[in-house]
Amino acid sequence: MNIGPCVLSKNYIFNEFMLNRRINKIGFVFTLPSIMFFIFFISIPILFTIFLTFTSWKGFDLSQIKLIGFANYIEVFRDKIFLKSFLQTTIFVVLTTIFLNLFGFVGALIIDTKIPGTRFLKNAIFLPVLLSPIIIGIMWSRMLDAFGIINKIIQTIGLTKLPILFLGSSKIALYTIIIATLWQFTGYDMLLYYAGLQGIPKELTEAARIDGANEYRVITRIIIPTLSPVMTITMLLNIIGGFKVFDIVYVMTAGGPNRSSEVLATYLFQQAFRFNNMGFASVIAIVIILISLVISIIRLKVTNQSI
Amino acid sequence: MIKKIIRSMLIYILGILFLIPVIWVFSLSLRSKNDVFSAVFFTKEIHFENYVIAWETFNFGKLFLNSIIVTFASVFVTLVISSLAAYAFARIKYKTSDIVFYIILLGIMIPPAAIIIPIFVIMKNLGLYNTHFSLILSYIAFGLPIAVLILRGFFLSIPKELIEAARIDGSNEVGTFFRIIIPLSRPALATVTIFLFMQNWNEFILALILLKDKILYTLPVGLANFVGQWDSPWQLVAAGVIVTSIPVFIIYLLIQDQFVKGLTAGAVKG
Repeated sequence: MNIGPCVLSKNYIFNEFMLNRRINKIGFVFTLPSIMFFIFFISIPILFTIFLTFTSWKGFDLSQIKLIGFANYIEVFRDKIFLKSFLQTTIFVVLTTIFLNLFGFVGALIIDTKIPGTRFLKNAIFLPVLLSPIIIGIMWSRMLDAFGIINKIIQTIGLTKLPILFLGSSKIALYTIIIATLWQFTGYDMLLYYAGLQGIPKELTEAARIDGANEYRVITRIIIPTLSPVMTITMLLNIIGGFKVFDIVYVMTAGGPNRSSEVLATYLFQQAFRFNNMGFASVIAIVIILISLVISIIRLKVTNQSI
Repeated sequence: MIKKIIRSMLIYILGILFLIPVIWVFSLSLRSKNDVFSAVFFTKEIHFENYVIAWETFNFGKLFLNSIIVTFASVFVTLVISSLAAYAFARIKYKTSDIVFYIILLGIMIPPAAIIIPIFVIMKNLGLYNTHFSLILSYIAFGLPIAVLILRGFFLSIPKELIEAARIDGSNEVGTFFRIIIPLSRPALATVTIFLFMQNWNEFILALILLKDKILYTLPVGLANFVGQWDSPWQLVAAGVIVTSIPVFIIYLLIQDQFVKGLTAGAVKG
């Protein structure tokens, strides 16, 4: 009895065509608000930042923007403080990435044993992930202060008589911030690794153990190779996160003392909103954007291959 | 057996060691003025009134309210427009929709810190500087790409036949979207909501440059501001830290699995 469409075929195709056109239009309407937000608050800002790198501008009156060619680029790349903050950001990224992955991986292995208490440990390690970096910064600044708990403990044990100025010493301020960051985000990496561990069939590791492999061999021969895609993604996420670090540095040291903990984002902020050097600051912004772009492209390539 | 108990104990000890910063700050928040610098952990006297004093001195009610307004408004609008866009990218494609999708995805790679200058300039020229609108608008823009990515992935997993059946039954696209797609997508929407909530609730640098008046400050900027005043009493700051952390922690305990999913949503394949 299904002859309807045959008889009406011409009409049917026409209707289908009109329907598709109408649907296409609706599709565009559905995406329009997102497109508008993207254009106004992401695309235009990026283009404007690129434009500003070629100008000298104090940031107040748009009519006072002066084109000065590549002068800002030359100035920035010759600027000792920029190079210092670039180096320090790199140190921050490298150390946080290595240790977050290490601690996260070990933490995941411990939790995966499912010994009583691991549930508590998991929540304890994950708790700081829930807090904002501002809060972490405030907590650790107080803990590491001359009157804070860490100096109390050190002095009680008798390691030093005078309190250590963790954030006031240009030699260790950056590393102190790194330690606070490790405390905050170990739980994040741990959960990613833990999720990865759940994907490894228990039979695989059991069989290896029965065949006489010790824990070390099980980890290096089975677990690490299987988790390498997880490891890549986690590391790339840590690297991207590290290059844009701002909040915790701003709260703990604001880049000091003596710029010893200055990172790219804090230097950009200072140049733009304290010294009003918009052109100079925009070059730093472009550096940050380029770094995240490169790493994200690597991430895209890697994830497309491995998942 | 004994080995097991020892292992278990070691795990508990490790967990408690990890929590020392939190426990210490909590002890700090209960101390009297005089004990702040001298005590190591908890003191005999317990001063719960620190919380009341901190609440009033730092105007926490206002800070909470501001954070709630900004976060809820931005998360809600992001959800609405990103789910509409994601649905179109998945199921009502038009000629250039794939290209548009990939361009929007590029937004994931742009850290807010890198475009604070133009955002500041735009908001000033729109007359939105020093208003909550400026924050809400920029949070929407920064939340969109990842929301679209996650939701599109989910919508692609909804069988096409379902949508076509609805079309044949005469349901228009808007109706199909709200009556069929949205109710089916609750898990994905929950993930995105939590991800956006955490991102916007904790956001700092944009709030720092876009707000000038203290009465508009959100929690992170408010907290950072009164720590910046060096004479602010430690026990009150500590109370503030605890108070601001509690709501997120409670939500986490209530919906742990969802929460972890939402927080790690940034790690989904891009």
